[in-house]
Amino acid sequence: MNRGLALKVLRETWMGTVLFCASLAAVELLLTYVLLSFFRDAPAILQFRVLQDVLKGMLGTEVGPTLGPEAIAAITWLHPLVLGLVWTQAVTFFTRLPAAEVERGTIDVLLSLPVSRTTAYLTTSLVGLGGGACFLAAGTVGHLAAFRFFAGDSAMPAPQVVVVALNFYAQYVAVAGLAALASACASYRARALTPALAYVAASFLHGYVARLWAPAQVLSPVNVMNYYQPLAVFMEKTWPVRDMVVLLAIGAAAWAVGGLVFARRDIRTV
Amino acid sequence: MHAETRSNAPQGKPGAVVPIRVEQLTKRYGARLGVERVSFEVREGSLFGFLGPNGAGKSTTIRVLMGLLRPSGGRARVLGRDCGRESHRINEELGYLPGDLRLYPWLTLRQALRMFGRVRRRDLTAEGDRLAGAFDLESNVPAHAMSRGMRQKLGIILALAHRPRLLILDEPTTGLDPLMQRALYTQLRAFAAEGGTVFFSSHTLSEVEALCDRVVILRDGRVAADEALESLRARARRAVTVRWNTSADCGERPVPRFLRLQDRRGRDWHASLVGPTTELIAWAAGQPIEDLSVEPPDLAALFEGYYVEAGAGA
Repeated sequence: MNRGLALKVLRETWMGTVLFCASLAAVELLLTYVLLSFFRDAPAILQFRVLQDVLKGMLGTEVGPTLGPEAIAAITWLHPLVLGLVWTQAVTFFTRLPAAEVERGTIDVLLSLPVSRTTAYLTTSLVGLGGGACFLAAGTVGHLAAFRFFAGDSAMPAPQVVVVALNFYAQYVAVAGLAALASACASYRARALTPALAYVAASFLHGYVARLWAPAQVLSPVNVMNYYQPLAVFMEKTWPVRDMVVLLAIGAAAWAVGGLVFARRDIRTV
Repeated sequence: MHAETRSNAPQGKPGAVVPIRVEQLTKRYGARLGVERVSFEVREGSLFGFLGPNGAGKSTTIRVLMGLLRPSGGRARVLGRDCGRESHRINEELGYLPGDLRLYPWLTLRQALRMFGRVRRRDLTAEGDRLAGAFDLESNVPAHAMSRGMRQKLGIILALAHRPRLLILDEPTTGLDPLMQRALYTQLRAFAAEGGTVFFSSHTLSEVEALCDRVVILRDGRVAADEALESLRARARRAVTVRWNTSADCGERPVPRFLRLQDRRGRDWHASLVGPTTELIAWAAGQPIEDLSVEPPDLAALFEGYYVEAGAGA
């Protein structure tokens, strides 16, 4: 890791990271408030079949006539807005090097410094992983604050929320690794963003479909959503160690392959 | 017809590190040729010109030297190291200005010196400030608000500020006004006088002629010439104009073997000198001529010859 380069990456990304952190904390806060209020004031709405299917697709299990705090907490970690924010941050950050640097032509200046491509890739990624950690920590704070303020006695225990956040972070690492791999193969950021975003969008949709239609489950092993089950963590109060290991392995493998590709590829002007 | 390839590159001292050594370098982009079997050496302390028309392969060669492109064949070593595998080590002692310089939009000179200094783990402020004075560049203007010439100056300062052993400059005068071009030449001459080596790529003969002591001419991805400027000048022909006393003399007098006549117009011969100047002077003394003018060696014609032959051979 090169400290000077890390500061340069921080200089370019801190504002975006702060905005993403604030957004995720705010979304978690508002979402928790809205869901708690909504299902408290209008529980009858859960009798609609469509809503039950949507919640089953999201949570991976049948919901009863009422939603407990665990289910509401899980929804706040699985809501498309939350997933969209986290994935967008991961994909945007991890396509910076090399795709975005090649596209804007600054890679020539960057690689004229006494820093190997591997060090540049590692440094940028470590800053990204640090930013991701701050990001999910902000989400966790928003979530805990919302339950503390709005749920009273039924607040979720903080350790359980932290475990879910760590599981989510493992998924962030997987998505980040895949985005870094896409970036390593591309000379235009859009060409790196497109497959990465397409994959996470497909994962999201597939997650829903597979829970409602069994044959689709054949693709579940390659879906990052398959290894992120907040409701199970809240209900069973256990660490999803296997899921986290799989997600971290996906991220590490994709990241390492991306590093090898980047270290060996031609850097052409675009 | 292609010009004959000449390669009489100097041999470095035995055991001394040659700043740049390129051997049979080939780079292909799929079916398209970038450069083919390019070989040359750059001596330490020299101002080395790398000349060729657009698309000749200059930037491809430079990008290989910088470790940005992997060669398809042959090899290139910079400061004694392999440019593909050890570019980050090479860059500790190398300053580089890309042909199409793009800078981070937020970057000011002050921030750049601080940032590059941190990455290089040395203080660049003093040398950077000195260069900023020489190139008349303000330190607090971000790159997005700079003109093309200002950005180019910033790029040059960043290439020089860490006092490298070797400078690789790809079309460095792009966007610079004549005053700043002269300032750049002054800096580069001083840099070479202190033992630094300059690899100066350009498609403009005049700036290579003004600055460099040796030149490689690249054409269609191949080396067309590799010579000292002095030897090129010696081979370059001088334009000669002979004004005869009468039109009859102009039409009837035999052309001596050391003149190649290009045109007879009125009382004038327009020719190029293909022999020693002394023979011309001796011959002219005995002729009924009113005036005789001999131009300096015409390097432009020589270089044009390479390019025209390239076009003919394409």
